[in-house]
Amino acid sequence: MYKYVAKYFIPSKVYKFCSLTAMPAFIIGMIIFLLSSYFVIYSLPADVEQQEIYRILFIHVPSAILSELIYLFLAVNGFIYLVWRTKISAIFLNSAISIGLVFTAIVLISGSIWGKPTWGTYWVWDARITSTFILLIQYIGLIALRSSFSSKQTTDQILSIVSIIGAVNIPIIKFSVDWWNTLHQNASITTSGSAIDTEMLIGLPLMLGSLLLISFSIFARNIQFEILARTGKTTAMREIING
Amino acid sequence: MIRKNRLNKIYLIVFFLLSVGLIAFFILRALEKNIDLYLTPSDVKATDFNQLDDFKLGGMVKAGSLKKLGGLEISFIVTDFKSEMLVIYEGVLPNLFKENSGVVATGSLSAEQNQFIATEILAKHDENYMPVKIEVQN
Repeated sequence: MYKYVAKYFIPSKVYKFCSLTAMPAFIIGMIIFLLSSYFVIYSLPADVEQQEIYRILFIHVPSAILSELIYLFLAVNGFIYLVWRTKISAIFLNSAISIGLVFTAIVLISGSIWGKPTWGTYWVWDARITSTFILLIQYIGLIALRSSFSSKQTTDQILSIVSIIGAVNIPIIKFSVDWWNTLHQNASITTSGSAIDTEMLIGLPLMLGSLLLISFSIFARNIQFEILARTGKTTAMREIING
Repeated sequence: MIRKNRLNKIYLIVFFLLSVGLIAFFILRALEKNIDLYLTPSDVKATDFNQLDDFKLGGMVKAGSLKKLGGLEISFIVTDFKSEMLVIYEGVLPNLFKENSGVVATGSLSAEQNQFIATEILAKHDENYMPVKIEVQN
């Protein structure tokens, strides 16, 4: 198994793949993002209770999904790095942190803006909001750790361990609204169906898809940067960069 | 095939993660009452409040219980479908505050412990999203 997977994840191959796909992913992602933004702002009907403000849902929920998925991605890569010592997982881990940080910030900010007119407050220390705030601090901590050690290997090991420990927070965020009394509402989309009307629901996968493409393009550029910073001086990489 | 030293590492990490998870579980269990944002009317009945402590009371606004007392002052009954509590509030209400809908009120019990004097009202939104239907006129 290891052999079959490993041959696709050689830094030089990943570098080539990233340089080929980053720009197209960004352009397609931006087009879908702009079109679906127009769609969710102007075409979808308003909500019965929340009126127009509910449209924040379409940026809030995809960002929330991404902020948690990216953290799980960090932890999985940290795990693979610690067990198999594959450099590429450390590169993936390093490249994804900043993107997760941005989405966590978007979740908290958009949630605050939505909270004032609907709940009556920007911020309340309930379990969902507090655990998401802790996720933001985890991302900031990882970024601080990145530049705290002189050796790349030490940095990668510490980042892996810390991101694996931090993954404990992800199920806490997910189930916080079920385990405790919170102001935040329960999940609308569950295995038993969606409490969001089908007419409105279509906006979510569109926004999620476009944000995935845009974050992939930034991720790819980050990977290229990481690979160059680590192995840019070797002759094999020079050949690739110079074509 | 996974080599033995790698397998050992996997066991170590999984064990490590499980222990961190267990620690988190115990901490959260111990702090359960502090993490809950609000008390339900049943919780309040079960607790003995000696002083006029500030706390948050949450539940549903009982249908038909919302009354205007003049000016900005209102009264309503918060229910968790087991117990009820009368709430008095004077001030601005959030948009989503209405009967049969969730509410979280900050305040304290009155001297007789049968009323809750609220200083802040937050509306709790449920997970349902329904579009506004355009009413067709016949």
